[in-house]
Amino acid sequence: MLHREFVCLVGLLLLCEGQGQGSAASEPCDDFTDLDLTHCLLGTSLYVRLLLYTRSNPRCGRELSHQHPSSEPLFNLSRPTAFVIHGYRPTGAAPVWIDLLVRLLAEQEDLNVIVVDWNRGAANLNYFIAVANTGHAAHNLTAFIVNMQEEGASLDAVHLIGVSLGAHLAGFVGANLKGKIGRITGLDPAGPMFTSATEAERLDPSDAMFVDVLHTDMDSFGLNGAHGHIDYYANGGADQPGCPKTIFSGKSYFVCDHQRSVFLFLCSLNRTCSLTGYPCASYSDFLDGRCLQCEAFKPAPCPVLGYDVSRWKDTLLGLGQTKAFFSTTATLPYRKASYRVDMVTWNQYLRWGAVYIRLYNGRNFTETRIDHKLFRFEQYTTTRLLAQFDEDVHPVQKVSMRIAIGNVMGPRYKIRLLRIRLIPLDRPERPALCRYDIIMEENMDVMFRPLPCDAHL
Amino acid sequence: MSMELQSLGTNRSNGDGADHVSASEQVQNGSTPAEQNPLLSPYPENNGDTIIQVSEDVSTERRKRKKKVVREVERLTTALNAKVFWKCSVWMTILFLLFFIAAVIFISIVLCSVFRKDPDDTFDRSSYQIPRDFNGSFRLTNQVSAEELLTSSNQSQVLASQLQKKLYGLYSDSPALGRYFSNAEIYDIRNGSTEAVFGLSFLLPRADQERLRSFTLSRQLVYNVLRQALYDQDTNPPGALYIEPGSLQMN
Repeated sequence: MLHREFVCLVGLLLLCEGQGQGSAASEPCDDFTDLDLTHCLLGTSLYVRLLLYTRSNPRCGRELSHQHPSSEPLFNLSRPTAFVIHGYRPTGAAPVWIDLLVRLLAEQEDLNVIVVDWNRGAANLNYFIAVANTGHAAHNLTAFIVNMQEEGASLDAVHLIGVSLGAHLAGFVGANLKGKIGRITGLDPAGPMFTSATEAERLDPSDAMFVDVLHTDMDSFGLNGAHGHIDYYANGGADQPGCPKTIFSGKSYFVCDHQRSVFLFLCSLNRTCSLTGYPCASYSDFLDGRCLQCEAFKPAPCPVLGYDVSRWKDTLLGLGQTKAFFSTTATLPYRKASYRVDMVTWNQYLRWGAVYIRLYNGRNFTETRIDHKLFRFEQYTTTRLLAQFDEDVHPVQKVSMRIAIGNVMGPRYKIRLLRIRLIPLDRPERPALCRYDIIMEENMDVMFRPLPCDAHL
Repeated sequence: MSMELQSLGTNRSNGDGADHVSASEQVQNGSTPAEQNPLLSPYPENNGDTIIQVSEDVSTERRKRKKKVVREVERLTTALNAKVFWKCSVWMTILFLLFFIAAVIFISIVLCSVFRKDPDDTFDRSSYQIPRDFNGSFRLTNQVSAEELLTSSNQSQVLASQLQKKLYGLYSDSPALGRYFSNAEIYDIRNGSTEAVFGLSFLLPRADQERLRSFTLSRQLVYNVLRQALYDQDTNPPGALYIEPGSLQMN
């Protein structure tokens, strides 16, 4: 525990190296409060600013009056409003993602995007003070939304997007308004100080009509568990690919996993990645290929992370709470090319094995190793695997496969397959690929040309 | 005894550890007072004495034990060197036995993996008696026109036997279907040698018939084994026997 606290402290100090961002516009813009390390060290007292961005001023914020929101001519109360709420700011600098998030949100639909700038209050070396400030900031924001409502805005059209500590802040606002807010999106809700919190003390599904949460760092700065109508767990929700494993990597060791939630959300807003979440009991079940069908959502596909949830919202509300899993690559566009692999053997005796698959498209290839456990090959029974490739190799011209049984000594077994079928997931336009009647000798690569599966059967 | 006294005296004068105090008291109750010894006698020397004194008891015990061990070893060596027969002593025999056991294990593993009969490769074809037939058709794209064919029915017969050979080879080489395959026939070549009608016959064992019918000898597998062979055909350039994969029908 002491060690962990030390690590956190060092992390905070490293975070303080962050850089601020300034905006260069001719007319005076109200920008995000830029503080520095001095403020962090001395501590800041809570001061909430609300900065409005719309399609007419996507890069130049306008500070809104708390009492009379509609006094700002650009603020159109008949439009839906999205609030962007940042989290703990140990450096005092503006979050690196804030400008992009605002711009991408404004691109989704004609919105009022309001940045809730509580940097004075969140910037403090002492995390506990920032946590204490969330409650006060939430009261402040609640009062503002009530004013908005009095001036004609609808609570249904309010969407709070909270990052880390901001996710809990959004939850408090939602609870203050009796859960009548349209939607809360929590991006890796903060974990420290909230691990044993009751539902009233953290973000929970009753805080809004629809709550969606993305988890990326549950094992350190993020909060473990399920807190929304749908909880997405990227790569299981704890460690993200491409994030450093040791403290020697400096600042990114601390922030990489946690910040990935924002980058995944940005990427989904940007349409550069479409991340489908597969509802499942656990990440390991998902990796074992047990949750690749989304019967509950038919005719819609499985839920996709992002801004537009209209296709799944009603089903998800009916289901109560849903956990959805997906895997990503280390860098943009994060998406993995996933296939469901079904194999049927006619071997009389049961065999167990790990599977390695390579896809070739003539120029390059991509490989996956499905060896986190041994899979069961039983006569006339379908063995189902989830094969996730880092690259989307398309069209697939050749497939190379190997089954490792793990015998050090003894005979070389053969796995005789009646059929192997590769079904591209989240790409309904692509045909399923099949190959029939092949023999796989243990630890030997078998290369074959797949053909489109038989459509009649 | 005097050694002991000397050392303890020094200990005291140096104000050394507390555990020595009780020991020195015992000594004082004895006879010679500690003050008799020079107070400024070099510390390490005396201290060293103490250690020697203490270790003396231990070393005698050790020496005894060592002697015992040596005796044991000697006894063992003579036992091991005893001749079993001719020039072979006991240790040679033991070593040989160990080596022999290892060799037996190793050889049996190797033999097992080399001579292992794969249960999936052993079958008795004579027990396969239940027939299962499939019929189908496919289109040839690179054949000569209809008029030409009418002139020589011989040509169509040649074509039929070529196709039959192709089908026969394909199914008898199939790992899953080969053992059940009995015959392939081209019944007819229609539409001026562009469409071929064929029949395939298989023989099934009586045992496990139902599962074989629905998996291995299912229409799906029999059909797709041919279909995938058609997809594998050389298309550049397509040979005279090129069959259009999409044209394959079977039931």
